Amino acid sequence: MKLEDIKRSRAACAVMAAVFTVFLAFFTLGTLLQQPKDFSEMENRTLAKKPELSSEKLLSGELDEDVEEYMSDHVFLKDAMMCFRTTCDYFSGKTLQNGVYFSKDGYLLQRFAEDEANLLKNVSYLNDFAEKINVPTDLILAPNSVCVNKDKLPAFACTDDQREAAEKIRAQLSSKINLFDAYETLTALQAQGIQAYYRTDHHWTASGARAVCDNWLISQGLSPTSADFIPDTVGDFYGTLYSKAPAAFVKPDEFSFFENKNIGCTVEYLNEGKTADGCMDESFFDKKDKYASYFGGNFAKIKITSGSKSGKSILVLKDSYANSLIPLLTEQFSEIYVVDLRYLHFESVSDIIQQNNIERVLMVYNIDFINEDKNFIWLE
Amino acid sequence: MVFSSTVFLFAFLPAVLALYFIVPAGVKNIFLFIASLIFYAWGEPKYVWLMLASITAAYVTGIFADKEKYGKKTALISTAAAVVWNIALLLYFKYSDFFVLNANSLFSLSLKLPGLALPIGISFYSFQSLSYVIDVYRGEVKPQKNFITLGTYVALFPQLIAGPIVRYQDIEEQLSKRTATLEKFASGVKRFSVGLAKKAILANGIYALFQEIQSADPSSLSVGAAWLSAAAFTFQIYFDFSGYSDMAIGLGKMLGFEFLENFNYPYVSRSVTEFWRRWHMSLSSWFRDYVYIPLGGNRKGRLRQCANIMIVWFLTGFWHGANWNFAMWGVYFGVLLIVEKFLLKKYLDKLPAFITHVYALFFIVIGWGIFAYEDSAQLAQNFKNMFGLGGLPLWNAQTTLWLMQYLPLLVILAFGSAPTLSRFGKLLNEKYGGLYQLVIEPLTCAVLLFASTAFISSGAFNPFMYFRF
Repeated sequence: MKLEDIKRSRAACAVMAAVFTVFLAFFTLGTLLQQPKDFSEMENRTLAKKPELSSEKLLSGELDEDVEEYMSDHVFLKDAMMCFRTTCDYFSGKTLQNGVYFSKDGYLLQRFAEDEANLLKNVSYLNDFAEKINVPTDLILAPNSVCVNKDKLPAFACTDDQREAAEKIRAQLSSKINLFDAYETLTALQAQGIQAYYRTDHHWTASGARAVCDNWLISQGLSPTSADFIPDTVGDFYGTLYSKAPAAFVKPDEFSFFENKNIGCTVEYLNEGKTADGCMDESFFDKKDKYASYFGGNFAKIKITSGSKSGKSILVLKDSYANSLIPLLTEQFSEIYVVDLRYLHFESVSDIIQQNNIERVLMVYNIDFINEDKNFIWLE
Repeated sequence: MVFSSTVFLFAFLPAVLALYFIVPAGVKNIFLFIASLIFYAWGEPKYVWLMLASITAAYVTGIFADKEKYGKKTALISTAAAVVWNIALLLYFKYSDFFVLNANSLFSLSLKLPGLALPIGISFYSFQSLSYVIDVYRGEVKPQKNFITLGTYVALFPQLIAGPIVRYQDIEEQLSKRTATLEKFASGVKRFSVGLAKKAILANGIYALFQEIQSADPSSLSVGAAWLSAAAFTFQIYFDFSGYSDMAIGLGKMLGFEFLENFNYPYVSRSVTEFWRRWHMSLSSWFRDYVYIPLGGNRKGRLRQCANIMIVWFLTGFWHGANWNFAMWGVYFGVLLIVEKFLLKKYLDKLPAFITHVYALFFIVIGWGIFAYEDSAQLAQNFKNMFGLGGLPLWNAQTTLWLMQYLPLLVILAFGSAPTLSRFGKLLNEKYGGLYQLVIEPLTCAVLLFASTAFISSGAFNPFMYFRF
C-alpha cells in the first residue's frame, strides 16, 4: 500500500500545492532578482559570468553548460545553503568533510596525507639550491595544526603522522641547511594556553609565528622581537578551513597581528611595480580572507626596506605561513627579499642573491606545503 | 536536462507548470510536446532530430500496422519496419563502438571506432515507440492519427530520459482526455519531493562513500572496505534510479498523467525471482511482453523456457550498456532465475524470512559488483578484494573511519529501502488525520525540497546513473 493512496482533504491538497508553488517561486525569483556577485568570498573564487546568447553556442550545446554553471553559481542563498548542508552532514556523523576534521574545542583540522616521493623530491630541490649558493641557509619547518593539536581530533580519525614526515625531512636535509623545527615551540605555546593556530584557518596565529620567530632568532644568536611589537585585533575571521567545511555552528577566530610603529618599513612589489608603506594591507581587514592582509597575499618577489640600523640583509623563500613571520624580522634586518616560488618562475634566485649581496637565506615552509607543492622545481 | 539541476528546478519547471495551466485544453499537448523537445534539446541539440525522426517512424509504421484497415501483410511489414528501425537505431548509436572494438580484437583488425556520443534516453524512447507499434499490430490499441499526440507520448519530458518505460496502452486515454486536478497535483508534489530527496540527499550522499573508496590508495583498503563500497553502490543505484522514477511519476501526476510504478521496494525481496518482480518493473514487463512471451515463454517445454529466460536476461543486461559486464550481469541473473525456478524454490518457500532475505541480498549485491565495473580488470580486482584474495587486511582504521562517517546515512538508506517509512506515514494519518495531512506532510515535503536544493547547490554536479543506458 503506497502512501499516496491515502485520501486527502481538499484543504490538505491546497496546502501541499502551495508548498511547492512557494518553493519554486522563492528560489526562481530569488535567483532571478538578486544582484549577481562576481566573486564568492566564501569559496574564494570568481563566479561564472552571465552567459552570452548566440545561435552558435545554442546549437553546439555550449550555452547549456554556461547556463548550468551560471545558475549553480548564482542560485539564491547559495552560501547559506552550503552552510546548511555542511551542518546536516556533520550531524549525520561526517566529522571529516573536504579533508577537514571537525575537532574538539571548535578546531577544524586538515587531514595530512603523506606523499613521500613528492616530499623527498622537494627536499632535494632545497638541498641542491643550498649547496649551490654560498650563503648560510636556515629552514624553519612548521608543523600544521593537525600535528600540534592531534589530541583534539574526533573519534576514529585517521591521519598520517607529521612527526614522521619531519623526521624524513631532517634525515634527508643537506648539512648546508640549518634546520629549525618549530614543533617544540608551538607545542609549548599551546600548553601555555595560547592559541598557536587558527581554529578555522590553516595558518598559524600571529602569536604562533612570533614565538617561532623569537626562538629562531635566539638560536641564531640574535635578539628576539622587542616589546615594540604591539598586538592589534580587527575582529571575526572565518578562514580557509571554514570555507572547506562551512558549518553553522563554527565559531569565528579573532584576527590579530603585531605591529611595530617605531620601525617603519617600505614594501616594494618588484614584479608589480608598486610600493606600500608597512606590511599590512588594511583593505583586507573587512574582507573574508583576513590572513591576506599580510602583504595583500602572496607575490612572486617582494623587497622590504626597514628602518633597522643593522644593515643586514636576508632572503626569505617561503609559503604563506611566512607572511605573518616576515614583519617580525624587520628589527633585525634592514633589507628583506621575499620569494614565493609558486609565482616566481624562470628567474634565478641565486642571481637575486648575488646581485643584491644578500648575506643569508631563510626558508619558511609548513610540512603540508613541502608535502604537496609542485613548484620547488623552479628553484635555481 | 537533469531533474536535479538548478536550471530544471528554477527555470524550466516553473515556466512549464505556469504555462501548462494557463494554456487552453486544446493546446496542452502541443505545448507539452514543444516543452519536451526543449527539455531534450537542452544539452543535446543535435540529437533532437533523431528523436523527431524516430517519432515520425513510429507514427507512419503505427498507422500501417493496423491489420483491420490495411490487411495482415501490410501490417506485419510495417511492424517489422518499426522493429528494424528501432533496433538498428540502438545498434548503431549505442553498440557500434562495442562491436567494432570486439571485431578488432577477435580478428585482429584495426577498424576505426565510430565514437558516437550516445543520444540520451535512446534506450527508453526506442522501447516506448516500439511497444506502441507492436500494440497497434496486436490490435490492443488504435493507431494514433494525431502526430502531436503521438509525439507527446514518446517525448513526454518526465519519463523521456530515464524511464519508467511508459506503455502507450497505459496512457492512451490520458493523452487525449486528462484532467489535472488539485488532488493529483498535490500527490505529484509529494512524490516529486520524495524522489528529489532520494536522489539529491541519499543517492548522492552514499555515492561520496563509493567514490572515496574507489579513489583511495590501494594500501588503505581492506576486505571490509570492499564490502562497504559494494553496499554503497547497492544503495546508490536504487535511490538514484527509483528517485528518478518517483520524480517522473510525480511530474506526470502534476500534469494529469498516471504512470505505472517502476519499483516496489526491491531490496526487501526474499529471492532473486522476487527481486526482478520489484526492480525496474517497466523494463522487465517490456521484455516479458515483447520478447519472452513471443518466444514461447513457458509454453514450449522446460528446455525452451530456460533458453527463453537466458535470452531475455542476456538482452536485459546488454540493454544497460554496450559492454560485456552488463551482458554478464544479465546472464548471471538468468542462471540464478533458472536455478531458483527448478531447484531452490521449494526450499526458499520453507526457510525463515531472515535467511532468504540474506540469501537474496547477497546475490543482488554480487550482481551490482558485476554491474559497477566496465573495466574487467577492475571488476576482477574488486571481487578478489571482497573475498579476501586481494591480499588486503580484513579491516583497518581507515575502514572504521569510513563506516563511522556514513553509519547514520547507511541506517537511513536501509530503512528507506523498506516500506517502513511509508507505513509510519499511514499510521500517523490514521491517528492524526487532519494534523498529518495539513501540517506534517506538507512540512516534511517543504523540508525535503529545501534540503535537496541545499544539497544540489552545494555539491558537485552529479547526473543520474541511468542516463548512460
